[in-house]
Amino acid sequence: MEEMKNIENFDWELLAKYINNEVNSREKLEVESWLNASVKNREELEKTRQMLKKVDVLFKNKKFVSDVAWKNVHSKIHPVQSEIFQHKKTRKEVILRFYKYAAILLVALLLGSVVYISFRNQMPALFQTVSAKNQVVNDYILPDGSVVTLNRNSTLLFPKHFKKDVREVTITGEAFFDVKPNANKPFIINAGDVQVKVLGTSFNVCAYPETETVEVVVKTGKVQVTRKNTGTEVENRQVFLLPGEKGTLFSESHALEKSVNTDPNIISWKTHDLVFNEIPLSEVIQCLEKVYNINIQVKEPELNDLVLTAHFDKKPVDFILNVVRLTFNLQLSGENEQFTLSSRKKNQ
Amino acid sequence: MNQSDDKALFKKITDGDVKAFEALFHAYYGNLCRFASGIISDNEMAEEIVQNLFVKLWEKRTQIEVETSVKNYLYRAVKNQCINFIKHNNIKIDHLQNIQTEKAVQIQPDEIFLELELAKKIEQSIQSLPVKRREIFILSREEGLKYTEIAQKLNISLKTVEAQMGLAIKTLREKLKNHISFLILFLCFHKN
Repeated sequence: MEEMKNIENFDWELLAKYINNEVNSREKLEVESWLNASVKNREELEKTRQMLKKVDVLFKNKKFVSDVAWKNVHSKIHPVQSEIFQHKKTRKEVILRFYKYAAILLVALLLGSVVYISFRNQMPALFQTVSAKNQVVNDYILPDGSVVTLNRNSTLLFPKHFKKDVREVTITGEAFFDVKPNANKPFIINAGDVQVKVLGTSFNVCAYPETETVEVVVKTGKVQVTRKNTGTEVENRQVFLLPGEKGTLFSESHALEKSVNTDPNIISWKTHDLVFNEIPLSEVIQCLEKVYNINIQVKEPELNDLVLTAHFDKKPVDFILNVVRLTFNLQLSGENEQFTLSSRKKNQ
Repeated sequence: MNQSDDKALFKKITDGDVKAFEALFHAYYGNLCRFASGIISDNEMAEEIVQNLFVKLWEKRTQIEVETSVKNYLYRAVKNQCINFIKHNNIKIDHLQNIQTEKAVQIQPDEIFLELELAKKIEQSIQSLPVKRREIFILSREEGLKYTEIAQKLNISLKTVEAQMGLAIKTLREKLKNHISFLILFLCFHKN
């Protein structure tokens, strides 16, 4: 009876402070003398500590969400069953009439999005992204030692740890890859509807969602470019590219074409090394806008036809624009990424 | 879940019972991840290791022989996977030596296994606290904030934090009284 009273009357506030290391020296003495008073008191402290330990463990365990993890594990232990399920579905579709197709498609889409969403939910655990917004991300090193440079508004998604037999990444936007050679572990890049497969080489991939093409230009080595969605009537499914060659996938026609790259400035966004060989000013401006992330207005349309031949290696954009101005005797105005070129004569 | 429960569950798993496998998975997942993360200091990799272990466990379920207990088997497997991971990645961790030379494959004495049932009970008890008290308690235990930091964050007085923490611990202690003491006994028994 006495012991019960002892605990009930005890100052929980003080005991909590003691356990949480929040007591001052006077309070500490007070608790310690209480502890010395009886075994029961010491037991009570120990039990409370044990309980809080469990609580702490609960908080830590909760960081690992076993429901999501189970879905992941479950999908890996039943690959065969899900395949059979899909086959049955296709057979059914053949039997059903046309008006029912829409409903089935909707179900399939819903199923697809559920799978997609649950896949996405698992991604934080296993995947990592690197994004470039207004600044180029230079020489980002991937887990295998390959080096990526990301252009503005681009994102690269890759697993925290590559699989045993393949190194697979996904890019939106533009990037230059310098892939570390490893013949046993091909490097695969998913870019829009294109898959790029390499063993060890360097090349540029440009796949901004808003543009109508996906372009791959090879600097060194050999690269295989494959169109992902098969089943279309277009012939070329894949092309092999050698240094200086370019593969282009046109989103509209699904055509995959191989050509010789004639643009010396394909990776200038990374190198800031610009070569213009008798290039119309309109194209020069397009190129400068992309490389330096600026906006250049031309006042008189006829200026666009002026032809420039020049080589700028790692020059600031002001310098380049001043060379253009002096070469063609123009006027240059503006600052902070907004420039205007105009004819000198008309303004006088 | 005690040892005989585990063994019964494991018997079902070897017979191909997915539901039993799922039950085992949920009972161990958080605990094993926390254990692995304690060794390799990487939460995400810890989850990958534990998930891969369970996939392999299912694939080889008919060949696996559990000698002591399912729990020991799982902890030992996770520990080995962590050691492999560290070796493979050449990560230098001070206590790696200790892990390797450690002959006993028993779980470390301070390694706490939180059973699903008790986890639920604790969760309910915390949920039953008044909102403000619960918030203060979580900031203290989960986020590890000092009293003054909690007071600042919630814009309340230090005195309020002290009083609420005292009440929170008192309530939990009362609600969990029977469960915790039972578990201490069980742990002592298990260690011997």
